[in-house]
Amino acid sequence: MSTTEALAQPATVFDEGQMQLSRVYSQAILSAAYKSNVVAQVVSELEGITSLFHSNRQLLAGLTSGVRNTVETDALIVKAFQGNVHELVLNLLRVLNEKGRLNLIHALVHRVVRDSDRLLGRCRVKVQAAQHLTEAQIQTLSRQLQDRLGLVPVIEFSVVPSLIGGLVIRVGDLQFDSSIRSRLEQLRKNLLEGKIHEIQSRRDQLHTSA
Amino acid sequence: MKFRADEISSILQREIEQFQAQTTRSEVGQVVEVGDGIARVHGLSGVMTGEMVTFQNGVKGLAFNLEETSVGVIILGDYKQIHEGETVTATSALLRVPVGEAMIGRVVNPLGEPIDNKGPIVTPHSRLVESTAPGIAGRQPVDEPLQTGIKAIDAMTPIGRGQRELIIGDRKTGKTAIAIDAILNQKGQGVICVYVAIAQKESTTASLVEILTQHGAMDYTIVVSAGASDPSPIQYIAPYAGCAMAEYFMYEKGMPTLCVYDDLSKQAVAYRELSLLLRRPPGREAFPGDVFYAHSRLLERSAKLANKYVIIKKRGEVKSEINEQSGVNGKVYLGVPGLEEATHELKHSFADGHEVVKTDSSGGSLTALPVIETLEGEVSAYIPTNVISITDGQIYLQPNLFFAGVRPAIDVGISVSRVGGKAQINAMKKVAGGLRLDLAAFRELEAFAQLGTELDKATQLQLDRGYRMVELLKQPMYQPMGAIDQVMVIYAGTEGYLDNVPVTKVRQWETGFLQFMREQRSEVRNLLEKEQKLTGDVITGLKTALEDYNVDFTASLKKESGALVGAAG
Repeated sequence: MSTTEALAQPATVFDEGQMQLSRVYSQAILSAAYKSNVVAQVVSELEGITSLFHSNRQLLAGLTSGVRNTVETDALIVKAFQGNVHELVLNLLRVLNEKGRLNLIHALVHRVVRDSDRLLGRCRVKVQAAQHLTEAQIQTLSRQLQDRLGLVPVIEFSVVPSLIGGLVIRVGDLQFDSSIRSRLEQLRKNLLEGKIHEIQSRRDQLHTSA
Repeated sequence: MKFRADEISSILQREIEQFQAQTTRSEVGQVVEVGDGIARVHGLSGVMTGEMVTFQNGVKGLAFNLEETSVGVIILGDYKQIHEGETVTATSALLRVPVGEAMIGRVVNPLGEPIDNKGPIVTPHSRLVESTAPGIAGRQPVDEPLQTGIKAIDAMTPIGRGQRELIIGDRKTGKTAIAIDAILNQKGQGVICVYVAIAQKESTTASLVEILTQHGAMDYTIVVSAGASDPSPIQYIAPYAGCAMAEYFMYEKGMPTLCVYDDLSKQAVAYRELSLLLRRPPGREAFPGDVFYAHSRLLERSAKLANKYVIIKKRGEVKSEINEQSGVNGKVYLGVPGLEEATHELKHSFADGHEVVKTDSSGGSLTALPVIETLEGEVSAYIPTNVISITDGQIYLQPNLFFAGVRPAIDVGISVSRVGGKAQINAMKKVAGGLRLDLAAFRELEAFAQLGTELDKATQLQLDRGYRMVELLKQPMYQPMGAIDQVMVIYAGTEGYLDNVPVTKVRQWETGFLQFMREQRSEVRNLLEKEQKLTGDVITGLKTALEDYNVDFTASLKKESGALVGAAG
């Protein structure tokens, strides 16, 4: 699973308790960020932090293991992040540490990204194509998506050669597939069904003649 | 399978000519966790409960648990081929199985796919696996017999078409044999049978199919097999799929059908397994709270559908198909009140040359024979009590009777049929009226006699007759007996014509008597078959035949014993 996918999907997807907690924390941080007009910056910095924790798993494990007490961890957080991130982000990490909720960070960021998109009128769109699209093509696609969705699309583009041609666009849980691969699969299915009908009709003919 | 090049090119040509940049729109999710026949899927936020989903590799699944952030899906196929992160697509459709005439004679899995190596099944028809049972107005009371061909059942616990009769007993007591006998006896009766094997060994199912084939029963039977090695979701849906296949003939063709669910205790275990995996709260014996509903909604689909009538112009020799659109006034009359209304309207509003007829597709029935396996005769366990309370009676099989050689090992004391009595043919009702009570009284006396007490003559007579009746009700496997033959032998037993026949010779007497009636007294047999009741003529004929046969039989016995004495001397 790529880092982007890992970010899009929290590890604790079935922990209802964590999901509810992250919803509460997400509302709090986004309200504070909105008041200071730094929503985009806060979200981007939080994404950066989870990506950091994701690539260095020991880092988060070290912070949440309980080897250090809350005061020591707080000092470590301040030392590591002060000056590098916005004050609100730093404070969020410190509050999470104080409440013993640092392990909530991945679920929280997932929620923050979702909620901030809604707040800023954006929507994440995954686009797959058989080859790289030109900047102009992406711009056209973005414009068309904006017209259809009524939201600003944030395109995550990836190249999947097995598509052969066409595009696969995923917005939330909806997928629009115009790839050659899916059309070929459909064709294969039609061919097989046609063959089955032929076998049956021949068999029926044999039965009738017998 | 080979494709012809010209065939491929013609399809491609059509595709090219009709090419449109089509975009398919679908709702998707991602597999987060998979194992033991279930998957947890993130996404699919618009999916509905019971909706069919397809995994990336084409395997089907059913959305079972809708949670806030995930969907619990049961996988109807090989779950080992599904991996974490794969895409799951909602289909906006409920699970359907192929149904129709093409299914007859085939062995299929619960998805309706053939597993008998006899080629693909092509049928234009399909039905929902889960469908609602007919309502009150759509039914009629059970009043037509479904002959199982087993004397003990047809006489004492008769089954009617549309009834749900439970076959319950410990392992190895002959439960499946009764169900198979019932299927074999439907030959030539126009009944379509569906045998659903749930979590059975593949070898057992194979041998059953072999038996059905040998007896020519596959001509009207569909076998649905969910093997012991199949994942629990497949075992869970098997009875619903089998029921859907039978429903087609009941609803669309107006035919009588028989569905055997062998067995529902294993289906309950499969349901428990997948419920626990889906983290549904366990209840009694760790079964989920809705295990009763799982069985009740299945068995409620058994029914005897009400007849539908229409008024049409009188037909000549050629009998055309009658459907709901055939009525000259566009009206369809439902059930017995409908028939009265139609007759009344025919008399008052229509000229001569019209008649009231039943539509071809109405009046079908689905008789269910669910099987439950008990442990050490424990009928008060959770699943047996549930199914006993749902069904219209039960045939209880006792291991001690089985091992004492009484086969089928039916315990007549606690076996009942709540609605079947009305469905018995008149003659059988008359001869078997007191049989149940007599046998129950015999069992009590038998226990008393074992104490070695001296018995009076009347009691001894009652005991002797009891022994003979028990012997008479014994029947070998896969040899169902016609209703008329059953009436004749039971009549002989209850009227005391076997009292002088040694207990060990009862079976020989029975075989000889039936042959005698077929060959030498066919007029009496034919009269009984025609009248279906014990009229004065039939009784006189039977009595004379029995007396004559008994003279012959006693003589042949004497001759036999004389020959034995001679051989010994």
